[in-house]
Amino acid sequence: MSNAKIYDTVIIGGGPAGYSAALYAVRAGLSTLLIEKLAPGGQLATTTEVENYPGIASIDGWSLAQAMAEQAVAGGAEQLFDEVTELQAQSQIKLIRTAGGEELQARTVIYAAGAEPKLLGLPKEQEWRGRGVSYCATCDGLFYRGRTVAVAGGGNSAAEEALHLSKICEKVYLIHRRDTLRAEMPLQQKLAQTANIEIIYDTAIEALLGEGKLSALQLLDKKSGHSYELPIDGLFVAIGRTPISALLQHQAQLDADGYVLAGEDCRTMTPGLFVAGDVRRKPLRQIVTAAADGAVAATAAAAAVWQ
Amino acid sequence: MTIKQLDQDNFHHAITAADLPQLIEFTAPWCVFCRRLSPALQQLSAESEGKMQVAQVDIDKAAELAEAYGVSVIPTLLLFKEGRHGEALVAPASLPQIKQWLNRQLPN
Repeated sequence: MSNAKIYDTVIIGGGPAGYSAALYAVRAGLSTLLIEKLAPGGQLATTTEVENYPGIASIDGWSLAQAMAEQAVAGGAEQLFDEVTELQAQSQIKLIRTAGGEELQARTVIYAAGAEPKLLGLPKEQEWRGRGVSYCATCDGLFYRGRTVAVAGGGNSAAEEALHLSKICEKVYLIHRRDTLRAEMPLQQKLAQTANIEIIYDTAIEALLGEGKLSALQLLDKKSGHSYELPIDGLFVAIGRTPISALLQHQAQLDADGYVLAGEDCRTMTPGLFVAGDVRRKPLRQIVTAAADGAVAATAAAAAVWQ
Repeated sequence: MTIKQLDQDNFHHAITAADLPQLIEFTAPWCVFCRRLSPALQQLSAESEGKMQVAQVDIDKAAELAEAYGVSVIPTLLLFKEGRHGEALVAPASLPQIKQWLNRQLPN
């Protein structure tokens, strides 16, 4: 399918950065299409409680994402649920192809595809996704009611996952490869006060063990060199995120981790191509910083369209 | 077209008596990933009117059905034709992925 219309801006990714960009773009008078592969929200959609978005004491992530999408659509943004498979941004009119067979054209592109959970990189990890291996405690936690689970990681998300699981599971091991956690102090204090959470420091997960599904971890105590098995029913991997930036190869500068190098103005080395949200290299990845990026990128896109 | 809610009592009748293929999502109200499928299911339901019926099973209310169909992760999608289903699709990441899975099983 070919759509002859040339959009002023096409936004790739429907998280807080994308919908904020869409809102600012339509308010700047741009014809705007946002492409999201599944549902509004991105990582926000699977967050159960947001307590740090200014002006809102507490809200469910899904509801906040819906509200962002509705506001942008009510303002005039078009929305397409499809997955972008190709982006050619170097010509003046940019070309976007999707898995659903759409071929779209745009004067500017705001790339806001976000990030996804990082994998441990162990054999069986993908195969056992859903058979003991999970990347979302709020999604899959209840399958492990009354069971013993482990969380891999040491940052904020690992701490939050462990605390969430501690309310459902009998026992939660938090396995971290270093001797201190990176999680914020208030979270570390909560971990210490939770009786059924045990933190295992300086330890690497070497293998996933089981017959057809996960039943134990092969662990290595890096200080003593001791290797042992830890029987568990589930493993929640929370070792950070990896940016979704493969489509930008040769069109934007990426750092060694795949994050896009762009300044606070969200411009890339390709004229008319902007990046916003978690995919951009920046010191803090939060809903509010993603939304801020979206506003900046859309304003820059508007300037490029009207110039 | 609305998305039907099926349970232990009406599931069997729905998948065997229907003239149309039935796309069934096994889900639960607490499953935060599952809710991400709702725009996709609404869109598929609207686009496939007269060709396919979309329905949901809440596994908290119908644990026996989840067990009978080997559902150990939600969301799991199954497409039933004349009472039988093909390969399951577990936690799809995109709408095109769901469409490709459907196209492999549905006549054009």
